[in-house]
Amino acid sequence: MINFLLNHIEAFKVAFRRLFYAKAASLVMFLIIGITTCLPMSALLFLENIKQASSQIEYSAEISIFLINEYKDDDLNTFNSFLKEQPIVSKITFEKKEDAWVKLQKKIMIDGDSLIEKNPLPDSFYLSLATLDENEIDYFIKELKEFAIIDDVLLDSAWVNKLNSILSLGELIINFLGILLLSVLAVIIGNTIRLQALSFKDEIEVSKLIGASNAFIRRPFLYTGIFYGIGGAIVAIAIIKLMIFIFNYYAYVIESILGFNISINDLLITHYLTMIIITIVIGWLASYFSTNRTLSKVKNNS
Amino acid sequence: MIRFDQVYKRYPGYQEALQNISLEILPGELVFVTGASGAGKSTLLKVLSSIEKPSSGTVIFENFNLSQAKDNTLNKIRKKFGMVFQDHKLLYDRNCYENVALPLAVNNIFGEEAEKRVRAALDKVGLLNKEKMMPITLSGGEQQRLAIARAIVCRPSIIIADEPTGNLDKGYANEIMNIFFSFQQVGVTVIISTHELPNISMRFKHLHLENGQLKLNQQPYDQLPT
Repeated sequence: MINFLLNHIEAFKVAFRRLFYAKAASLVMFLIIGITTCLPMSALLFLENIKQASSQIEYSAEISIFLINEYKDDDLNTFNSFLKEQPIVSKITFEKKEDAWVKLQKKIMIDGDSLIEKNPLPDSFYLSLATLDENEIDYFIKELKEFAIIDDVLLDSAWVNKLNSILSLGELIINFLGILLLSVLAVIIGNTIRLQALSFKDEIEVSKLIGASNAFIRRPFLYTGIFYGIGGAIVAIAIIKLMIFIFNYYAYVIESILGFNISINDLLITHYLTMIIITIVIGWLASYFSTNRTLSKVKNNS
Repeated sequence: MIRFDQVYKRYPGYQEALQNISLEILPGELVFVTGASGAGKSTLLKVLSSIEKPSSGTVIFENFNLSQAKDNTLNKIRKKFGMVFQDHKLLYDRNCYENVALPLAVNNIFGEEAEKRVRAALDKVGLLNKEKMMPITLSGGEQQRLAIARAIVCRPSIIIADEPTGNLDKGYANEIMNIFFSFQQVGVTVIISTHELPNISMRFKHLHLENGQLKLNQQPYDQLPT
């Protein structure tokens, strides 16, 4: 067990020394990984903020309820009480057909003459909802339609569906972009490690000759891959933090002009941890496969 | 003990590098393998040290059949050999101390024990005062001595040297040979490949190869002065 640990400490030191000796190349590698990782992370940042913003405006989803022409006051009161008890309803507005008629006439009046002589409008309720959940809304509409006083119910949800579709599409694009860029990352790290392994061909050969196992030879390269992953993740986090800082700084400056807050919120710690784990795993895997390739080449050439 | 029994080695697309080789090397022997370039000396040493497997035939080392051994077993067996090469095969990004310490790390020997062994090996080849120097700053003879220190640091029972003096002038070559002889005198088996036999008055086994075939297998007593 102690030997196992000492072997890993030794491999760790060798990997660190290689990084340190090739400072410029290591730094460039960190930047490449950092910038590549930063792209899907920025898109995620954008999407997360859009989601948060949309959750703030989703309360304005509305339902229009048109009542039948003749009904009893008791029925209206019962229905009104029912609406007030519903947690899904955040705001209730009742409009008498006479008031609605006045508004309509103002809109359709040409040269002081109304185009419609008789009021076609019913009494109506306008509800603002506290949710965008389609199932919840559908269930609520079914409940409404059970009241005899109701003639028709219209849900103004088209824009909600559109927004949800756009957000889903955005998520899909980010996932696709993420996979694409992470593949690029794996190729870049793999190729760099392969070149590095080739530049240590002599060492690999010598190690093989003195009886080193493939695991022993591979170990420092795996640590290098992990270092690349960590370094790249740190660069990516720094870029994103800087981006948020600069954006929010200017957002604060122009907030007074616009009259509302446009600052963006940082990603969650779980997002950052996931990113670090992904870059480390990619660094490790890319190193593993590229070192194996080099090892088999060295074996064939020896 | 090492025993070759009808060993052949073929490389794809090439002529047979070794043909029907049968021989025996006893513990503590000094063995010279001679032959022209391309005669098969290096291949013989590679098969002997389990770097290469024979295409056919049997190679037995300490009751292990190297021809059928798996890679893991071969790695373990290889640790029993100390290898020295004509081109030294030193690591030029590590200092002398680190070069010698590499086989110890492979054998899981660290800390004070490793330090003690590295210093002893460097002392044995006269490079103790140069442990912090990089190999590139050493002369050809010193680099080869460093390679020998690396070969002996794990106290191998067999030292195999593939043309260790090939790139050295006569003075350095004698110096290197004397180091090998000193190991043989304390019971280590030393196998050296070379173009020509050195002029020495010691018992040694002489194996001569021509076109992959063993043309001469002289036993040690043959060289005793009459």
